[in-house]
Amino acid sequence: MEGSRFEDLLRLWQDDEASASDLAELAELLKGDPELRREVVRASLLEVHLYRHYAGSLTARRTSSRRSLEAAAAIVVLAVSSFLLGRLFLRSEDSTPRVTSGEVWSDGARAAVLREGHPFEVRGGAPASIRLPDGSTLALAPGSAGTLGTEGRVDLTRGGGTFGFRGRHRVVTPEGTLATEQADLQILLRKLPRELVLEVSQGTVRVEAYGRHETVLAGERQRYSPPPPPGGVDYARLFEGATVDLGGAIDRATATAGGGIPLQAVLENEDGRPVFSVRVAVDRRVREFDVDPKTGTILEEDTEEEDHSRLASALKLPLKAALARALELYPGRPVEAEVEEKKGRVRIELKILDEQGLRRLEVDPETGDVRLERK
Amino acid sequence: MTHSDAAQLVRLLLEHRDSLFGFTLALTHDREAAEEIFQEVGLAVAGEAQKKTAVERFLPWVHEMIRRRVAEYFRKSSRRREVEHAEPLHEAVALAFEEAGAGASELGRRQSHLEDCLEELSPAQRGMVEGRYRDHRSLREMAREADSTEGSLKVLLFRVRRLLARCIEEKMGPGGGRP
Repeated sequence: MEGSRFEDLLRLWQDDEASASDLAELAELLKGDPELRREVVRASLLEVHLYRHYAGSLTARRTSSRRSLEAAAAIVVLAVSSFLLGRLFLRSEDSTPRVTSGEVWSDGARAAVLREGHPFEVRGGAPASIRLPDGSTLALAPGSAGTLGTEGRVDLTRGGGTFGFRGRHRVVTPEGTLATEQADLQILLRKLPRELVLEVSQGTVRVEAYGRHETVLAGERQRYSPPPPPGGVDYARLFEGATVDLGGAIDRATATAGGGIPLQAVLENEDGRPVFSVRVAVDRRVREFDVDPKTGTILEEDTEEEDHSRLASALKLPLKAALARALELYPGRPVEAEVEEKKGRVRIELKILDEQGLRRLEVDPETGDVRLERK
Repeated sequence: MTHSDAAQLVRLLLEHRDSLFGFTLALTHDREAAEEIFQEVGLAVAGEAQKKTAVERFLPWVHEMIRRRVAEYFRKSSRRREVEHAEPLHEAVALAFEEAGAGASELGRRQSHLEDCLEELSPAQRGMVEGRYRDHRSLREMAREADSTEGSLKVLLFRVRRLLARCIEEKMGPGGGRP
């Protein structure tokens, strides 16, 4: 029956389980039947409406689809309205940067105008729009912060937004400096891992960031992040698109093993592919799992004949609990956690990536004490 | 019709935002990736609006933008293989969304009917939907609690979604069921 086959294929596709031939078969069915095409649209819209329905729920995560949808829409509206406002005021002789919409705070109060050298911050849940004296416009995302300087300088310390520059400007960020004479661009500053994302939609932008000096042209998108230390790991790349953290990977591996004591979890590059590698002691063996940071699925698993049962049974604070304890004191993104025994003493070593770089911590599983080893 | 007016382009984006997010979600099957891509596309549309780019047909234009970004996402992620195999399917799905072209008012009715249809589910079925869409729990975790397997739960969840989809269609009534 074509109907039931279609349902099978639809389910496989939606669950990411469809093979190449399933995908091809579903494509053929859809091309030949408008009713099936409508079915696919209904099924997809249902997913959107389900997420939206629960987005306002108290137990839903803060990053619900509704928030993101509306944030994106609001940024778009502001980007365009600020552009239109910019045009309206282009001939104005006003020499003061003005907040044309949104909630911008400076000097401890909500600001309608911004003064050079005085830091500002976008508050509230909506983006804010700022018009500069030369007609340039800044549509900044909520949470963005910076300072307007002289001679067209804009210091952006966090956040991002859409910039429509109508004169010579320089944007200074913690990740690098952008310079342009006339351009429309989007900037996003990410914290963990640190990254500057630049997309130019009109004009050209010269960039100096982390030793790179280059010109980004209209239609191009570039990312700039700190280079990994010599011989070190490029965590910015490994975390790209990740939806699962180290703790989540430990949970997935332990659940797949059907129990056991996690001994090690590490984010690493395996044959060009980022994976969380998790080792779990089960009886007198160690089961190893590679967890996909993007989907949380188990990519590979292996069993080693290694007996760590004594170490596992001596562990008074589980790896995941030690991780949670350390993160309370040193927030960031954990990249490695390992139970070790040295000179008869069991300890848990952690590596946590934060805005300053990589922190090495040691947790005493006897007392729960967390000690910073070194940055 | 050419949409070259900046405000009009943004109005169209807002009018179709659920449909466009649905399209993005359909291609990625990953809510967080879909959100990120959708936000990027929103900013890109704003950029094009500022440039007063002339757009002949809005939906195919945005769908193409979304497909390029989804392909870029797949290439960067471990789902690289999907770029090669899913292209004809993505084309068919884009066609489906263009034909549907649902606007805000119809989607609003669908959302409203969904709320009624959720009430008609059994407590167990509603619990599954809430676990997945409200609490964002993993299938593995839900399966473990239900003393079931991930595969069985996937099938059950699919069936519940089909029930909801049919319930919504019935409430939309004849002629109102497009898409």
